[in-house]
Amino acid sequence: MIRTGPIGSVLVANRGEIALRICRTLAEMEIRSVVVASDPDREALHALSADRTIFIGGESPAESYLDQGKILAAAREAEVDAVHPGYGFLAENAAFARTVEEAGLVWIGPPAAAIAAMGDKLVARETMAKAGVPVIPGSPVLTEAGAARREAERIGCPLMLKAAAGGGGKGMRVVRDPAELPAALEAARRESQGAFGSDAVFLEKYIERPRHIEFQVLADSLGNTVHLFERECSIQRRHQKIVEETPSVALDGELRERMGKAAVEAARAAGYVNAGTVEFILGQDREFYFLEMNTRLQVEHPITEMTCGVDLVRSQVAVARGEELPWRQEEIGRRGHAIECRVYAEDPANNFFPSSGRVTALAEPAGPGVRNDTGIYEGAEVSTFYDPMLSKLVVFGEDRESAAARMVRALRGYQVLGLATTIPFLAEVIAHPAFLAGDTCTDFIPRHMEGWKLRDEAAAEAALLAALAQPDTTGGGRSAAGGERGAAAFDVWREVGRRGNR
Amino acid sequence: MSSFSYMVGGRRMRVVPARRRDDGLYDITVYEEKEDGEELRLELPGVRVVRRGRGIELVGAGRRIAGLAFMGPGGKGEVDIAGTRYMVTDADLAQEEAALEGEASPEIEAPMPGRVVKVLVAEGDQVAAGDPLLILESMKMESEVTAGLAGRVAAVPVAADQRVDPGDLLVRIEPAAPSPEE
Repeated sequence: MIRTGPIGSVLVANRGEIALRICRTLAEMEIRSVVVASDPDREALHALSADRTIFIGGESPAESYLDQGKILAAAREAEVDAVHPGYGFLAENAAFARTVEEAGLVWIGPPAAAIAAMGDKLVARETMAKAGVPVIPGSPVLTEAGAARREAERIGCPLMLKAAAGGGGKGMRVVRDPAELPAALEAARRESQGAFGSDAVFLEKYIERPRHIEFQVLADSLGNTVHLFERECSIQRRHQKIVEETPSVALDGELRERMGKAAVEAARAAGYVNAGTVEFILGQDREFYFLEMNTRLQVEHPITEMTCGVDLVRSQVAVARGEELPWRQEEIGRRGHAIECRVYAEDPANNFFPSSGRVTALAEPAGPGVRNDTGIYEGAEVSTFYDPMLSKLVVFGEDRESAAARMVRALRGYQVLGLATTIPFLAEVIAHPAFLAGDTCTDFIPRHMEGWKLRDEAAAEAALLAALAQPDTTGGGRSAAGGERGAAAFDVWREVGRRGNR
Repeated sequence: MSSFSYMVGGRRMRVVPARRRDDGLYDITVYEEKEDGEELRLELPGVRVVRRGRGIELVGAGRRIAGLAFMGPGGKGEVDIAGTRYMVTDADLAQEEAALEGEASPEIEAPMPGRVVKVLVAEGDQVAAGDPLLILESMKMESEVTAGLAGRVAAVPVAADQRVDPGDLLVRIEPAAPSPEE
């Protein structure tokens, strides 16, 4: 059972763009928003945008956004009715969900039991297999190399090593040859231990050139469960999604209906309430398998919002209040095409090395069909303590072609100084003939973008703008333009003009 | 005539501006300076310059060039045009820096704050250029730190789980003696 009740105020236990995105819907619903902020986030956008901000100190996630005691104390101090965890941090922590409910608050998320069951990939597999949802052949948890070798022989290469407690690509390794297994096992266990505090890993059959297709589900506390169609998230780098779109070109009406039904079955089998995502992997042979269930609002939820015309955070709050879903499955429609690009503070010219520092200048894309869910502003400091995602750029178009053209236009209008970003890389992914042709498998980046280099075709223009922005270092205190912005550079240029051809 | 020279992505660009007295428009030419002479890259007769915050827009001559630009007082700066960011350095300054830098450093320093996940070499190990030395974690991403040159590992003053700040020494390599044929 999940606790429901009236909600007049919400603590958003998160940071960055998702905290801000949740606060925006709360404001529209006339619900008071409260956020928490760590020390490096004292002037972060989310901390400046909520009705109230509680400073919880600490730098690392463990000292701040993962500190359950601090978050609960903040909820008590602000006397909120409910807690929304966003994604990441405590969103899929069953113990925290339980603690929130025991404190007499409403948890805007699924029941703790569903989080626990789906958070353990092996339990999730068994639950799905029992409910008749197709699963990938795999092994139990592996603790030593001998058992791993026997399991690898049984299932057959290629194989995937995965963290049992994992997600987001951490602790995952592809094994194409049995000889690679011992080293891969060690690496996967180390990464899993570091990221999740558990070194439990297992093996799975690796599906060649698959697509990643997920279904948004929504269930109320009265037993109604629906899906809001698919999102294709096949474009990944280091197993992290970077581009998502809906609809998927790989599904026809028949396959979409079968997968949608399986997603609803999966949610029911998990005892699910609230918004969640059922992830599938789709082979070249159109066979699909349950991958995992994300028991939270997903990063890429906005593309579903754009095509289905819903606000998923509003739906989450309604469900947490105990309301019935306003639509039956057959009443849910959608139109057009939406694409999301995740913009990271990483240097595409330097092996995608994380980039940090102050945003010295920022021009954000705007215009028809463009939504940029961001956590930064001009002057903001991007620290190394948290995830390097700066914003999610989302576009809507009448069809896939116009959405892609719009995304390229928006990316070219998105300019950031002070940090390196993945913007130029993303623009070339979207403009790539293979993307435009819909040939989007999970190997897209290594297959099509290997050896990608930053183009310097506008180097002459860049030098020209640099010359125009050059501060006056000749000095002399001339102030012809009287303190106007950029006046110093103009002075230099006037000087040049006088000495020039006239 | 006065001009401004910059290094942009390894290329040397010379900007020759002239502001017209009569109408306030600019005549601008940009050349790429190469070893065997200059090549014309841009010719903009009679363009208007519009500024919006850090944004600069040049309109006219049948073209529109727009972007964000920020130059520090030291001769280093950044320009973003159509979502691509260019690092720009005053050409004289770049030349001085290049003279100082020389070859790959035998002292490998932390490029940014992070945590050492695993040290892959020990004192006395022989390494080749490009060999992984240790694994660093920063912003939740693991990355390999590699040797810039071949040699013997002379010192590893860090250990697994240690936090490091930018500039902290991670590994010192004693460069291998040049081979006889060189």
